[in-house]
Order: sequence, then structure tokens, then C-alpha cells
Amino acid sequence: MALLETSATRREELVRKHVDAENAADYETALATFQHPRYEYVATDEVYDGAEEVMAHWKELDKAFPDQQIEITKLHTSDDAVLMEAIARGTHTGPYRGLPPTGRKMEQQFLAIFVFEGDALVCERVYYDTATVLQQLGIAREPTSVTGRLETAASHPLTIGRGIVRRVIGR
Amino acid sequence: MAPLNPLTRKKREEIVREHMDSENRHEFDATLDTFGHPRYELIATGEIYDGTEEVSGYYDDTRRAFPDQRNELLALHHADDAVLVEAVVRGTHKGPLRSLPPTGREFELPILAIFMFDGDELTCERVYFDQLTVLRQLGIARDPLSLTGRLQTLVTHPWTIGRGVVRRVTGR
Repeated sequence: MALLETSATRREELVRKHVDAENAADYETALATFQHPRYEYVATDEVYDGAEEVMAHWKELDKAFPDQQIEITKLHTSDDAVLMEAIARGTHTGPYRGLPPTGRKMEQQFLAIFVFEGDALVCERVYYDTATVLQQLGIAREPTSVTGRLETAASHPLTIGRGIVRRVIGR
Repeated sequence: MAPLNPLTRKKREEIVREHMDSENRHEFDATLDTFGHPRYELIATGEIYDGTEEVSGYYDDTRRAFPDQRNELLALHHADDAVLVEAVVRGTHKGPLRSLPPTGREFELPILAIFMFDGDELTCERVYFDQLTVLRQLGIARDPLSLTGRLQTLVTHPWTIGRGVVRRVTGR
């Protein structure tokens, strides 16, 4: 069943309004774009459900990356969702979950699925790479780089040791 | 935006399903054939594999590291010029992954793949996933926000964390 054009347009407009409000740190407006506020982060299994949890999540991010901006690069509209490819940019100038601010910039491409029931937005499900962000903040290294390999060997001797043993004995 | 022709939609879905099924059957020549132009873009790592030779090499590398790798399709979204698939990939690390020796561990990774179409011709698969999810399960990385992860970060990145602490204390 093909989606009516008007409905697709309305959904895309709502997604743009949602992103614009986040960029303006106008979280009341962003919250109002949801019929039911809910975030799902696939990478970390985090779920924020309901107005209170979603608002707290935004405030936490806003404190860690006060200048964060999202640039939409493509909207894919399907029967029951708008799938957004976008780039998030920000500077880590506030504390984040026990990590003191590093002052570093992050830039990462991510995908967000805005899930709809009719014209009502009921969930934003986000796919992103945590490793990209941690590398850019300088608190993780690419594990296949030389420093990353030394660090892995230093901090995970048992796992790497077992791997080498397995390779040598061919099991 | 004209509504998508139902025949185009059906054809695209068949191509995507055959692409994923042939990967599970380890028939990578058939997987290659699902492309009009073979191309992968891995967003997490910035890797691009373009053309038959590079894409074949990519299949060889991943299946050497994870010989039992398979995918399970969870949801499929039809857009104007793409089919977007939510899926789970599973595998066991039995061969070298780049320079990392095999750990023998299993991983389970949710992914989002964008199959990009020109008409009913598949021209690119762009994949969004989280590297840390895999590395953590292989036992070669820890969640930096967990307690052991935080201690490890402090031990291995004293300079970055030290500067951060100084900045917090001095308010600069």
C-alpha cells in the first residue's frame, strides 16, 4: 500500500521541526513533536521512555556538548517511518557520565529511524558508532593501529595471549 | 514525490532478500550478482569497497575472520531510491581480523543497511553499525563508561584525562 504523498510530507516536516528544535536547544518544542517521547540507542541498548526520561537525556547531552548541531544529509521516507541520515557535530566542553570534559570536537555520521503511527511520532531509534566518538574525544584508539594494538596487548593480555596460542597451535 | 511503482518495490525486495540469503549460503558470487555495481560503504570505519575486485576481497576478509557469519533480517523499509534493512549479524571470531589473532569468541551485532537503487538496479550497500559492540564481545575493548573501562581509560590515557580534570578544576 503506497503511502499518501501528503502524509509523507507531513512526517518529513515533523522530523525537520524536531531536528531544528534540538539544534536550537528548544527541548519543549522537540518534545512536542512526539506523541509518545521515546529514544532507543541500538549501540548501547539505552532506552529513554516518556517525557521525563527523554528530557533528562537531552539535558545530559546539552551539558556535555552544548554546541551540538545536527545536519540532515538525507531523508528516506517509508510506509511507517522516516529514516534520517545526518551528521552530528559538537565540542565536549562539559562532563559526561563521570568523564571530565576533554575540550575535543566530535563529528559523526549517524542514522535515526523516526517511527510513526499514522502521523504521530512515537519513537526515535538511533544507529551510531560509539567508537568513532570515543576516538575523536581521545579516550579510545583504533584497535588495529600500532598504539591501539600495544594498548590492547597491555590491557587484555589474557584474551590476546589465548588468541596467539590458538594461532600457534592451530586450534 | 511520485509513489513507488509496486513492481519496482517487489523487484527491489527480491534483490535485497537474495543478497542477504546468498551471504548466509556463502554463495558470494550470487551476492555479487545482486549488484548492478558492487559497492560497500561502512560508515563506522569510513571504509569503501568499490567494484567487483574490492568487494570480493572484502567478503574474503570478513569470512576468514568469521567463517560462520550470518545475518537475520528484522525489518525492511521501502523508500523512494533505497531499501533500508534492520538486521542482526552473528559470527564467531575464528580467523585473523586484520592483525588481531582469532579470539574464538562470538559476536552479535545489530546493523542498519541501506541498499541504494537506481531504478531496480542495486548500486551500493551502506552500513551503519557500532564497532565497540563487536570489540567488546571479542574481549578486546571495554565500555569506557563502565567502572573497569574508566580505570582502563585512566591508565592508558593519562594525558587526556589529566587535562580534562585540570580543565574542570580550573573552570577553563
